[in-house]
Amino acid sequence: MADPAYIVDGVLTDGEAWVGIAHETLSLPAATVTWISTADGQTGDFSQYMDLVIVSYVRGTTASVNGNLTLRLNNDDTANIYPKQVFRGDGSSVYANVFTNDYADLGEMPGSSATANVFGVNVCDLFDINSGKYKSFLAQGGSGDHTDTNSYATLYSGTWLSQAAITEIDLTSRNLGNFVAGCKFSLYGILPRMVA
Amino acid sequence: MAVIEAIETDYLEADTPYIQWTSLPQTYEHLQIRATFQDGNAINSAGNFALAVYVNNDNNTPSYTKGWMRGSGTTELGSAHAASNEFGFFGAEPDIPFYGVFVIDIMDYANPNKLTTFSAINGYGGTVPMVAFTSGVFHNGADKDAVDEMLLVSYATSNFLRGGCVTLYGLNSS
Repeated sequence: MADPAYIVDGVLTDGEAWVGIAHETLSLPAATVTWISTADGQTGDFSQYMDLVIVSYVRGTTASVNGNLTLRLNNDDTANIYPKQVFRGDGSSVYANVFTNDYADLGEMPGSSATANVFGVNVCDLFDINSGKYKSFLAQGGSGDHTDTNSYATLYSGTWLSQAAITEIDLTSRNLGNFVAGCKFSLYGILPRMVA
Repeated sequence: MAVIEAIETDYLEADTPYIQWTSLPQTYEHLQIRATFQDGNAINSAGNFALAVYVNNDNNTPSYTKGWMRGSGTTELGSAHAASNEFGFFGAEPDIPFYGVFVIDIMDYANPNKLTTFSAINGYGGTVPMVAFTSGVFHNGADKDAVDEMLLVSYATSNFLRGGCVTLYGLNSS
């Protein structure tokens, strides 16, 4: 079994702090993108990382108004387990509110009512994923263009009310639509300083 | 050479009054702080507690300015402040296991010919939920020193709560 890049001849080193874990480009529409920790000490093993970062380039098959990019951790769909603070602007006004659901909102997403070929972007930071803290995230996003009334710049924060380590990530659309072909999703692991 | 390197990680095993990094290497293009913090206060505050970042051992708030926008509950806020170096919010001990989360970027920090600029995003999900985007400048009059030291404190002058952790990253150009 090959060593990860940060172990050289059996010695722990501080190499790249950001590790590319997984990348998905959809060739066909898909309802869900799932990443599961490999739990094998290799690159895909979430247990070695301090933080995770999800980078998404997304568009949905349903109307933009319902097209939130949503997240579940460890396949947990318990009612009200994901409280979140949303903050967004639509070009002329800002909006803040709090919600609690059985999924986490990362941001808005262009849908069938948006200009053709416009995708939304989203960068989500998941913090201290192996700690005993509740798992919190920050997500920055932009969706659509000025012709879409459901286009926003977003900054959302949320929490999974669980102290479990994160071992599974599921990305979906809030209204159970599909992601269109061409969507891209990347998952990065963020390492702490490992040698003195 | 790694593009992004972890320079230092601090795990707070006990309540801690501050985090200080000195003699920062001047070899990176930019710095990034990633942190989870909670204030050690015994009671929550209606406005949460603020994370303050000082540089170069200049602990005078008039040396800093900032502008921010944030959402808290159903309230949207945007404002600018002279003499302020707060880069986000967190709650206090009664709210654990909630911790505030932070990503703070310090651009071109080693350049001695620019004022140092920060940008930060922050979220908190506890009793007073909040999300914020902040940008600030260390000006110290017209001083344009490179940054070689940083100090992180809770603005409430209390401790960081045990369990917090923070890593300073250096971003290389290649």
